[in-house]
Amino acid sequence: MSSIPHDRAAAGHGTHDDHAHHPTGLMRWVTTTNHKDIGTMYLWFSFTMFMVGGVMALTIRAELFQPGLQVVHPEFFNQMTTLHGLIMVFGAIMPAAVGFANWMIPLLIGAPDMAFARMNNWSFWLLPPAAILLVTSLFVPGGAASAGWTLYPPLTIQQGMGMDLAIFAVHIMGASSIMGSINIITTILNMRAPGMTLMKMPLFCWTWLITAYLLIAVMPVLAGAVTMLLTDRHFGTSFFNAAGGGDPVLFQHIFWFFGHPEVYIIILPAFGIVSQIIPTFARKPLFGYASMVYATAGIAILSFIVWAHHMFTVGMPVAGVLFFMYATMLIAVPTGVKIFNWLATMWRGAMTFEAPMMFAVGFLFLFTMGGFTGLVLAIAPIDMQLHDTYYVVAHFHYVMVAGSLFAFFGGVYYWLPKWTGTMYDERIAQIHFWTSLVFFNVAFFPQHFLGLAGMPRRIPDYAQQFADWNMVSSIGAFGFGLSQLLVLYAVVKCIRGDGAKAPAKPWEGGDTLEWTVPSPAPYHTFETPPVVR
Amino acid sequence: MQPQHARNDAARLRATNVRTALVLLTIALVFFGGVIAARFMGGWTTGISVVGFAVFVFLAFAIGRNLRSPK
Repeated sequence: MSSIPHDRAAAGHGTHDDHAHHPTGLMRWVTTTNHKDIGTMYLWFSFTMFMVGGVMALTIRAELFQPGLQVVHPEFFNQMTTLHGLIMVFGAIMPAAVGFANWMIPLLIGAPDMAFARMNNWSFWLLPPAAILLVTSLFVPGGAASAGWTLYPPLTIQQGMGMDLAIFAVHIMGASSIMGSINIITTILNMRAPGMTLMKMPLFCWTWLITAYLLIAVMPVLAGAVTMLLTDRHFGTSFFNAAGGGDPVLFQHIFWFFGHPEVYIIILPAFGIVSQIIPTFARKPLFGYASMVYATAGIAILSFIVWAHHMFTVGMPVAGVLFFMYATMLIAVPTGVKIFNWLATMWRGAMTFEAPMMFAVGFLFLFTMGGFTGLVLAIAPIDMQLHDTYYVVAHFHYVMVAGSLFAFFGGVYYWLPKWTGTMYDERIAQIHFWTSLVFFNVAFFPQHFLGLAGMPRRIPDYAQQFADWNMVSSIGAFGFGLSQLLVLYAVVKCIRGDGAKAPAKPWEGGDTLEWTVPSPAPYHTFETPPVVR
Repeated sequence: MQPQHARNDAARLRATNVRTALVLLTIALVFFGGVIAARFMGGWTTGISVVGFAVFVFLAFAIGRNLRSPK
C-alpha cells in the first residue's frame, strides 16, 4: 500500500536541529557513517562508472560504425566488451540501486540510519579499489580480461594477468554487495517505525528486501565459481579445466545460477522506484499493493529455476530444455501482474507528466518490449537460432538500460528535491528524457534486425549486409551517450542551489514518510521514530 | 546522557541486528563453501542438486522466519 497514514507531528519531531551540523571536508566522506552521505557516494560512484562503461560502449560502437577494422585491434575490442559488461553490471547499475537504498530506505521506513553504519561505510569504500583493479587491468601485460563478462572457461583459464585482476575485482564487489544486503535486510526487518508493518512498507522497500535476499543467495555462488577459476589458473586444480578432467559446462551452470537472478537484482529495485513514482503522479494509491509484493517474491523465486535458458545451445536433455523453457515463460505471469497494476494505477488518475513520471512511463513501454523479446528468446528452438546474435544484445539492453536506467533517472528526478533542497530544471529533465528515449531506440531497436539477420555479437568486424543498421545503431549510441550529460548538468544545478527552493513535499501526490521531513533532508532524521497508523 | 530504558532499547536492537546479520552471513558462507565443496564431492549433477536443495532450504528459512507470530 503506497498510502501510509502516519502521525505527521511525530514525524516532524524526527529531525533534531541540534544534530543538524555535520563534519566537512574530505574526511567527512572517507569516515562517514551517515546513510545519506554513503547513498550520495554510491550514486556518484555509479554515475562515474556509468560514464567509464559508456566510453567503452562508444568505443565498441565506433568500431562497428562501418565494416572492417578501423578504430581498435580485435583483442582490445574484446577487452572493451568484457569490461563494459562487468563495469555496467557491477560498477554502475548495482551501486546505483544500493545508493537509492541507502538514501531512501531509512527515510521510507522511519529509521534513523542503516543498522550497521560502519559496515555501510566499508561496503562503499570496497568499491573504488575494485573499480581501479578492473580499469587498470587494461594496462597490464596481455591487457584486460577479454572472455566476455560471463568469464567462461576455458578462455578464462588461458588468459593473462588481467583476468586475475577481474576475478579479484568480482570478489571485492561481491563482498561489498553481500555486506550491503545484510545491512538492508537487517534495517528493514528490525528498524521500521512503530506501526509500519511489512505490508504497510512502501513498495521500494519490499523490492529491495527481496533483492537483498537474492543477492545473499547468489553472490556467494559467483564468488565460489570465480574462486574455482582462480585455483584452476594458479593452484593446479581442474574444476573447469577439461584437460585435467574438469567440466567447463559446470561453470556455465554455476555462473547462470548467479547470472539470471542477477537480472532481477538489477530490475527489482527499478520496479520499486517506479512503484513509488506512478502513484505519486497519478495521485492514486498503488493498485493491488499485496499482489505487487507477491509478484515480486514470485519473480525472485522463479529466477532461481530458469538459469539454463542461457545455455540451450550447450546441449541438455529434452526434458531439461522443456522445463527451463516453460519455467522461463512462467516469469511473464508475475511480471505481467506488475505491468497491469502500474497501468491500473494510472487508469483514471489525475496524472501529470513531470520528468519522473515521463521516465516511469518510458520505463513501462521499453521494459515491456524487452520482456516480450525475452519471451521470444525463452522458446528453445528460436533461442538456438538467435543465441549469441545481436537480438540477444538488443533484448538485454532493453531490459537493463531502458528498464533499470530509466527507472533510476526517474528516481533521481523524483528525489532530487529532497536530496538537494532545490527543484531540478524541468526543461532540461524533459529534454534529457526525450533525447534518451529517441536515441536509445535508434541505438538498440535496429539490433533486433541485425540479430534476426544473423549478425553475431562480440565481433569487431562484420559482413557488408549488416552495415546500414550498424551505422544507425552507432549514431543512436553516441546520441544516447551525449544525452546523459544533461542529467549531470541538472544534478549539478540542483547541488549549486540554482533553481526554485524545494518544499518539504514537492509532489502533491507523495504520501510516504520522506516527504514529512524538510528539503533538503536534515543530516539526521527520525531519531525519534514517527508513529505510523 | 540517555535514560536507562533508551540504552536498554538500543542494546536490545543492537543484539537483534547482530543476530539477523549473523544468520544472513552464515547463509552466504554456506552458499560460497557449498558450491566449491559440492564440486569436490561429486559431479556437476551432485553440485547442482546440492545448490538447488540449499536454495529451497534458504527460501523456507527466509519465508518461515518472517511468518513467525509477532512477540
